[in-house]
Order: sequence, then structure tokens, then C-alpha cells
Amino acid sequence: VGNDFSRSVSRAHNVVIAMMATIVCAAFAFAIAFALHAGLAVQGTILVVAFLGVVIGALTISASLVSPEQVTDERHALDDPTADAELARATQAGFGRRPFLFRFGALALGTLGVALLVPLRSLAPMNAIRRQRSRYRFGVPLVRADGSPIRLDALDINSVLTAFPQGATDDSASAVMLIRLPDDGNAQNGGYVAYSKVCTHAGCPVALYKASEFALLCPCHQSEFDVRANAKPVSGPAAKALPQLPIAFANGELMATGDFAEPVGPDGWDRA
Amino acid sequence: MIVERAFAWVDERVGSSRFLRSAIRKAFPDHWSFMLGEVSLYSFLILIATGTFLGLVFSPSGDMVQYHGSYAPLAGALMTGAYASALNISFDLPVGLLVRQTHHWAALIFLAAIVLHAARIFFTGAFRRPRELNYLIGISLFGMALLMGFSGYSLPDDDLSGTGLRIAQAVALSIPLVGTWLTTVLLGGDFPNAGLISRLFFIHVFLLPGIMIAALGAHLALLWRQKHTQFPGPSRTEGNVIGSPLWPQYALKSLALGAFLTALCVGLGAFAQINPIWQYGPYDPAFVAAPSQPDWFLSWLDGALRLAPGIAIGIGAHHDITSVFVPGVLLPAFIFAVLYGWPFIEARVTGDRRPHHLLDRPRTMPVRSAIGVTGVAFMVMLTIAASFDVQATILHVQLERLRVFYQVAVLVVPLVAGALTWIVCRELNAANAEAEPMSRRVEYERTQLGGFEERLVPPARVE
Repeated sequence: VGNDFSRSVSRAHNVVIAMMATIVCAAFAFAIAFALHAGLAVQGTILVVAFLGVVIGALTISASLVSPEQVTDERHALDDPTADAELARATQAGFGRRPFLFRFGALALGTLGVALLVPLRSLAPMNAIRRQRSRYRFGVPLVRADGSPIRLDALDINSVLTAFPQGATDDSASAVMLIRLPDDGNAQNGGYVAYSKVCTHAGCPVALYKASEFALLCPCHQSEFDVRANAKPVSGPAAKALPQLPIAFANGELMATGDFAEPVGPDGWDRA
Repeated sequence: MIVERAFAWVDERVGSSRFLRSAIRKAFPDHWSFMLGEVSLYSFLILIATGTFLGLVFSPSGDMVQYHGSYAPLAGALMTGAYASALNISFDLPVGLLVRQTHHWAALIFLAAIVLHAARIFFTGAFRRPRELNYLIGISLFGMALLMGFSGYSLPDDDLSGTGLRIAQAVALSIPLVGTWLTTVLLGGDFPNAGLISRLFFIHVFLLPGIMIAALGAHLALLWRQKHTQFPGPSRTEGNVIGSPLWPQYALKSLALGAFLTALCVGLGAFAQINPIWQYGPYDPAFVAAPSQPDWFLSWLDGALRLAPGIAIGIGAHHDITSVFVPGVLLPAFIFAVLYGWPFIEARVTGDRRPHHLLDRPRTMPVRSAIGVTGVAFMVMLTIAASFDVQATILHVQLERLRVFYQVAVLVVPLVAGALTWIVCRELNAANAEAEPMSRRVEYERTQLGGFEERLVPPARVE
């Protein structure tokens, strides 16, 4: 029995030494791999080998070379009622007969603390409390994201494109989804309608179009808006219609005839 | 002896040896579930190590630059300095991508370990007196870890991270009275704005980690001072803790665990792609990739936003309680209120205000376990619902139908799961009460004549 035991100990010894050698080799290998611009997989593998060496080494020592000892800690109460009472007396010394002083002091410091929060207002520019407005005014041409103008033949029936006011193709608050509806005889502007691309729910771009249902679909939370019915929400968490942009063709090119009637962007406590 | 001289040198200047002599004999109970807190600790250390590297090489700039790095599909594209910097770390900095992906994986594991650790604390009653204070610190650490995850996800300024911020803005805007004001102050203006990324960077690499390190220090110091809880067992009482001594048994196992987690995070970082920001492209508020999903630990919030009915309640002519407010603000506020309040709620309801150092088995507390399972099932259902658009595509189900299914399931499944838990706990208790004395508490002794003598041993549970 004694022989078996000493053999298993010496085997554990060998494992631990092998692991330490592995760790040293991996450490050098990592430095070399870094210098040679080795790829992700090589560097990762070397590090994994090194740390697994630590795992096996530590577990081998703990399983075979140290005794599996258990210790018992006695638990002692942390509190000391005598000290509590003394401390309470000591902290109130001087305030003992004047509780008013203590309370007023706390109130004064509290007030000062609140006052020090006021400069938090400077975290935002002074004029920034109002929400964004779009760049559309009467006569502003609508263009594609690349700046090119939009003519009557820009869209097939029942298809969509994203349009911006000319000169502001980076202004997300002004992005609109332009849809060409089927011309049922009384459609104006060749069936073209434009709705804000900013979802009234959480502000994501309403980027998807379900042609079969004439619905704009938001990819973030799946609100659907019926473009044949003023882009009213028909399903999903959005509660407000997408604001409509008044448009017309002038000299064959699309332009705005005014701004959105409602504020653009996600609905919040303040509507505008 | 050099070790002895070193200890003597330190002891003369710090006076630490008397403390250390008893500290290395401190008892650490061996139950596997006690490892979960350690896993969170080690993933946090990995996050600090990888995060320090990333923080030094990342440029949190909102200024527009033209991309000239080696990722060809985006050559010449206009983007923020932050996104260009994240691309450079991924493609042109040696070990950059490895560190970035390891950091992301460590964050996902960090949050998972915290959640499991918190579940262990809840279901075994480890939050009871005198550990309420440490429980509150733990819940705060969980909240800050969520904020860390979100702010980190937002830093590279790719299309998905910008979309996440956009949604957060809508949530903040929905808060009654102060929403607009609060949003503006938090974001530093409207969204997006050029200063936002450097503000998030400061929050992610200094403000939150600073508070978390302090809170974690307090968490561990209190754990040390109050000593571990333990499951009931032979000679384990309310008055002691039995386990492996800190040195060397526990230290070796803990070292192995830390090294294993490092190997796991690095291995995942090397072989499992995570958050491939180059595929999403730079943030463009007018375009978004579908499907868009947050990291797993915030999916429950996204799921809640998706399932809420599209109803806005007008307050006067100028104000709305929006459909974002309940799932985005009230729900998380309620969840954290319950988490923070639980030790006090339970003490009030059960009237049990005694100190407890021996843990409950979940089955012995059917009501607590049922409530816990209800909560967990609710969060899991919300998380699953956060990808219902992808599921609808895969299953060829109408979007709207699947949404209605989840709107019902998210309320029904947790209640059923809770009720089942209650029943199962009661059954297990009943079975236990009959079986335990027979199966576990019998010893056999060989008599001098060569026969066996059976004897019942009274349970060694001491209060």
C-alpha cells in the first residue's frame, strides 16, 4: 500500500512538472507568435494551452499532493451591545440637550448637497432641451441618399425608397420612406406618398416594407404601419401614426410642400 | 529562508502576519454552487485586464473620419473615429481582435455568472439576516453590470450599437415630467451627437468600474467578516463553518477555476466570433440591419418592448404615457424594487427575523421557490420573445400571430411554472420526510460474533 501511495505521489509530481514546463513553453511561444503576427487561432490556442496547464497543475497538486483537510471555523457574534450604546452616547455628545442643532445641521448639509446637483444641467448644451426639427420647408427638393433627384418614374408601383431633403442627406430626423401606391384613379402625385422613417415607438428607422400588406415594418420591435391609411399603426407596440410629409412634383422632380404636421421621432412624455 | 525573511520584512512594517496566520486557515465550504460568485469575480478580473488594454488603444471620438484601414469593404467610407478605431483594433492591431472578442465573451459570462449566483443566493435563503446588506450590494453590482454591458456594447458605434442607444433614448424620453430633460442631460444634447461616445467611454471605463470595484471590495470584505453560509450536514451548525482551508486546498482549486475561465474566454475569443462590428457597418440613424437584437442580458427588456400593446394615454394636450413607458421604465423599476426589497418582504411575511447561517434547500421553502421560479420564467419568456421576428421567419408563422402567442405565454408560462414548482417542492418534502430517516440515518456495526447490528442515528442537525 505504501508503495502504491508513493508511486501515485511521484506520478503527480511528474504531471505538475510537465505542466510547469508547458506553461513556460507556451509563454515563449506566445511572445514568438506575437512577433510573427500569427493569427487569432494560433495566439488563442497558445494562451488556452498555457492556462489549461495552470488548471491541470493546480488540480493535480490539490488532488494528490496536499491532504484533503477540512477545517471548522467557529462563528462569533459580530456585534457588541455595550459598544453600541457607548458609541451612540459619544456621537451625540454636545448635541445631547440640543437635538434641534443636530437636525438642523443635517438639513443644512442636505440642502447644500442638493444644490451641488444643480450644475448637472451643464451636462447638456443650454439650448438643447427642445427636440429636433426636420429640414423640410415649402419647395425643398427630395433626393436619394446619394443626393440625386427623384422623378416620377423613380419607383415601380408598390415599392419604396428612402429620401432626404436636398443638402441634408445625413439628417436622420428628416429621412422619409417614399412609397408609390397603386393609382386607383384619384391618386395625387402619381400615387407617391412620404412618411417619416423614424418610428414613433422607439425611434428606429422603419426600414422594411411588406408589399403584400402595404405596410411599413420596423425591424426593431415589429410595429406595422398601413401606408394606405395615413401610416396608422396596425400592429405592434407603436401607438402613433408616422408623420406624413406633404409632397408634390414640380418640373418633374419631387419636392416638399411644407414640413411634417406632427413632430418627428419617438413619442415621449412631451409630445413635441 | 527567503520566504520567512520576506514575511518578517512585511510584518515589521505592516503588522500583517498575525492576521494572515489565521486567514490562511479560514474555512471555505466545498459546495459547487459557491463557485458561481467566484466565476463572476474571475470574469470581472478578465474584463479589467482586457478592458485596460482596449481602453488604451481605443479612441472614443465622435468626429467623422475616412476609413483607410485594411478591411477592404469599408475602404474610404465616412465613419466616426470610434468606429474606425474599433475596426483598427479588430484588423490591424496585433492581438487586438483576440482581446476584443475575449472581452465581449467575458462580459457575457460575467452577467450569466452574476444571474446564477443571485439565483443561488435567492433560492437557498442566503440573503437572510445578517446578510441583507451584502445582498443589497450584490443587487447593485448586478444593476451596474447591466449598465456596463450596455455602455460597452454602445462604444464601437457600429449600426447595432447606435440603434440600441436610440431605443434607450426613447425609453428615457417616456419618463413623465422629467423625461425630455433627463434624456438631454444624459446624452449631452439630442441624439446622435458628436460628444456622446466620449461621455459613454468615461462612464464605461472610469465611473462604473470605479464604483463597481469599491462595491465589490465591500461585498468581499463583508463576506469575509460574516463568514460563509453552509448547507446543513453532519456537525454543521449555525455556530460554525466547515470547509477547505484557504491555503492551500481552496487557493489551488480557486486558481484552477480562474485559469480555466481565462482559458475559456480566450478560447471563445479566438474561435467563436462575437459582435462582428465590421458586418454591421458604421452607425447610420436612417438605416438599420434586420434582425436587430441586443446582448442576451438585455434581451428581456427588448422582448418587453416588443410585446407591449400599442397604446398611448394622453395626459392633457401635450403629454403622453407612451407604450414604451410600462415595459421600458416601470417593468425594470418594479423588478429591481422586488430584488432590493425581497429580504425585508420575506422577513415581514414569515415573521422570521432570526439570523441564519445554515442554508435552505429550495424544496423546503415551496412559496419562495415558486415565486422565484415565476420570476425567472417571466424573464426567460421575455428573452425568448425578443427574437420572435427571427422565429416567425424560420417557422413560417405570421408575425402578428407569434406576437399574440408570446403576449399570452409570457403571462401564463411563469404562473404555470410557479404552480408546478410549488407542487413539486411539497411532494419532495413529503417524500423526504418519510424516506430520510430510513435511507440516510442508518448505520451498521459488526458485532464481535461476526454478525451485523443495525442502528438508527438521530439527525445531527443542531440549531
